[in-house]
Amino acid sequence: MRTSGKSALLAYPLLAAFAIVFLFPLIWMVARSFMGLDDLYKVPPIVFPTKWMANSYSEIWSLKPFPTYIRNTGIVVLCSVIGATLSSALCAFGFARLRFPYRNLIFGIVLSTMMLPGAVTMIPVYVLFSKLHWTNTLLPLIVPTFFGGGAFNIFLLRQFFATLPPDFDEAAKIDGANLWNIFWRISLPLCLPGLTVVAIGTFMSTWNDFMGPLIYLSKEQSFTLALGLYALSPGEAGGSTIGTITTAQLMAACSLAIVPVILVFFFAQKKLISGTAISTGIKG
Amino acid sequence: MKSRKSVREAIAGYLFTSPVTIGILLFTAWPVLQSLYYSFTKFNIIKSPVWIGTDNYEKMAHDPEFWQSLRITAVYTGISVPASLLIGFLLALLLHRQLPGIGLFRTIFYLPVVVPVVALGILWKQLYSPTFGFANELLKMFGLPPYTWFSQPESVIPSLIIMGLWQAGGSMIIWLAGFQGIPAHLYEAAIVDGASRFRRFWNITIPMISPVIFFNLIMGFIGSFQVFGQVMATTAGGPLNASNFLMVMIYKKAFRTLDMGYASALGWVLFVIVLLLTAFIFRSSRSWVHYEGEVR
Repeated sequence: MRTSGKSALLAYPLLAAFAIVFLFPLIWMVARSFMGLDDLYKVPPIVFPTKWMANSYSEIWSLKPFPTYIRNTGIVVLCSVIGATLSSALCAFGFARLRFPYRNLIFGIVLSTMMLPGAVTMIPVYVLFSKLHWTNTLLPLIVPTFFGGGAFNIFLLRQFFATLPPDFDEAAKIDGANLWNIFWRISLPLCLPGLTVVAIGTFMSTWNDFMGPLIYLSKEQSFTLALGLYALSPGEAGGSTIGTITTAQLMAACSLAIVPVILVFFFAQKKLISGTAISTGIKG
Repeated sequence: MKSRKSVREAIAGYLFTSPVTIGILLFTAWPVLQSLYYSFTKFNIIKSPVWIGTDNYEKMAHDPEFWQSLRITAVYTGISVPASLLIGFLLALLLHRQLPGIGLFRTIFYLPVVVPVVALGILWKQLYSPTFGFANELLKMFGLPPYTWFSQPESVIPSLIIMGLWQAGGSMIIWLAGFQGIPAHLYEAAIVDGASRFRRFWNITIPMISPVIFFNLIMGFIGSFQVFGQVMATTAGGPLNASNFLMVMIYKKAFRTLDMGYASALGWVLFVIVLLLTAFIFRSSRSWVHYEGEVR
């Protein structure tokens, strides 16, 4: 599909039209966070404020304990990224570079867990964690990530490890390196692009996770940012009553919650996209 | 000496993969069995489960809430999965060309996918607001009457589907990767043979991309049957249970009314449905998915 000049002329207006459709909700969200009360409740609604006011961004801090939410989210994200990256790399190395009985069967079982709906395991896992008195702590969100870090990530990294030439292992073995050194000193650094994809993917999914916190956390001091936002939103269970929070404040909180993911996405989009290509078995 | 070496390698293999094997035993295998057991019990987490045989499943068969939930989940899946695949495909088709600034458009189309689901919900509730929202303004621009969006039972599902289409960038990325994987020489040969644009699309692009269609369909169906976050963050199942999707119903039964036995039974039914659907797509795939290098 090489492009001629004619199709470029056709493509740009279409691309621009789609771009407006896809960007508009986000632009409106940010614009509304800067609106005063009279701008917010104008009928018909306006896109940009007549007067830009940033006071919502300072007001939200007194509405809910946002620093606590951010701290909790930070802890969960940091631990999950470490846990998922490290443990998926370990497992992927085992599946890609070592021979052991039933290896392919075990790997097949690992992959098949991707198709298992969360609804089936959700209740017993909740029972397990509540017996351990881990509800209302961040542990249920962190500890499972250290056990393999997700089938998808293992699959992705296995592809990376499998492409490393075996000569490296052999040469290292002759030099007297043990397996751990081969993994830690040689293979892992070579798989840095793959590890980055796993780390960024885990960051995004953990930052955005809603169901986990919703199930395990019911006390405000343990809330993550996603759950805190949910609690802030009027009309939700345990949420603010309408009138205690303005739309501008709500939109300001949403905008702030989106900033980190968007920053990470901009920084890493090339890697993420190529990672998706590899994981679907298609060369990018 | 070779066997001793291979035994050591095997032990190392089990050790390296032990996080995931232990993880699956603890957080998947054992819970799956336990949830099967719970599904035959009355269980509210405070008291230990009481065996009641197939009562939960019989109750389900006569529970209008379950049938309604299954129906709306199926309708939502049946429309939103193909629609978002189609939009993702069109976007990918538009992006798959060498033009200046194409990377920027790709970023813009993908951006909604990374928005946290709670923020997504809050934002779209605002967009759909009957008086202060922009969705009705847009309709007015095209001379259409206002729509009720999230506020009426009959308009909730279409509104959620449209909201989901905003994230079609997710499938777009996979389509794009698929397009890039098609070797250019196939097109070049076809052009030499005088194949029209349409013939090239139909006889090269579509078969070469069929594994991607397959992957997208499976992941789309599995994900869509478990739609949860978008619903909880917007309508929470309402109004009048009109968006009470299977996963929402299971969550509410399990954690709001603490009817964990019934919720487990519902979870198993969801599992079986997903399994059957996947098996069906797999079976049908033999006739329409083309794998490069495969001998037929």
